Amino acid sequence: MKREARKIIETLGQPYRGSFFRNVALQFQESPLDAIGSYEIGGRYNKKGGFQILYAAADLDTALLETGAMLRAPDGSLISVKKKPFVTITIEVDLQNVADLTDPTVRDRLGLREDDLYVVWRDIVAKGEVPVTHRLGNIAHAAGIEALVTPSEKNRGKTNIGIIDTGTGANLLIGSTVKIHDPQGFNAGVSTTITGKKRR
Amino acid sequence: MQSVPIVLCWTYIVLPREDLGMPLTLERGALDAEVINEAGRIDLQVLARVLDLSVPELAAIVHASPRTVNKNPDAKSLQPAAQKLVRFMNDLTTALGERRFAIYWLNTPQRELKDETPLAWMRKGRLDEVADYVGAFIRMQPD
Repeated sequence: MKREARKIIETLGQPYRGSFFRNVALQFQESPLDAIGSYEIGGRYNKKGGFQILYAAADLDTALLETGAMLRAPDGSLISVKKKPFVTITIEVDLQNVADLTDPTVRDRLGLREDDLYVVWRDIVAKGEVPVTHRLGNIAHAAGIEALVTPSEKNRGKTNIGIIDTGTGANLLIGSTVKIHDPQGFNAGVSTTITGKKRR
Repeated sequence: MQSVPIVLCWTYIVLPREDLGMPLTLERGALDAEVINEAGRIDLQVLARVLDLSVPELAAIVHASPRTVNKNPDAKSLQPAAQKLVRFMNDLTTALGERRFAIYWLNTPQRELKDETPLAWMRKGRLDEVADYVGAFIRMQPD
């Protein structure tokens, strides 16, 4: 099954360009593109201690909801949450091999429903099982997919991106870039661009 | 004779970062002075009182029997789990502004925890998972 899914996902990679938003706690302002937190804690598409995924959202509301700076009230309104200082950065993504899971035809090829991507993954992991989103992340990683474009669980109808293995850059192809739009204000020496190193 | 004011300055405590073998610098937390006893260990009976938990509740969280906690509340064997709990309650208290809000949070159902409370998860032996969830919240890690 895993091999089959990998073969399928290998065929689903497409070039992808776009802008995404990411909230970075001020204490991590020296490494705004670092995704070590996702490695240490795990995320929706990567297990704890597996590989890094740099998560970002396609719009600011979603970024705020995904990072807990805003909550959605039962009536649908947004509530602001007191947070430690943070900065919001815009990330320009120019990648060559991205699987877009917001596309129903892509999900169909993988035998997934949109709801499958909204699993309460922490609960599944706590039971000692592997959530479908982690299986998907592992397969995409192994297949050399650079990023997954995904529907947001926190802000339905909106989009996130998870750029795979940004720590080592192992999955980013030569010619692919992830860079902070207008990095003015960051200290000299802070890495504001990730460039791919992998040959196709 | 002129008196010299003595200023007690808490320095940073360097704790091991278990997963990476790197030092992690943390500030002394808000709960520490109350729950760490003269022997330098966390007293779990005090911790239960401070966090508004019963001893059986806290015992379940640190994977011990209530009898063990009552008999030897600062046992070495209880320290790793107790330290983890104190560490993230310190972080939450700082993040939310006051301890009462952190305690309130423990008792508030969370969508990311399948609409259960963090306390319910910890009672089920999921202290590590709640610690990670708090870590994600503090670091602004997307869900």
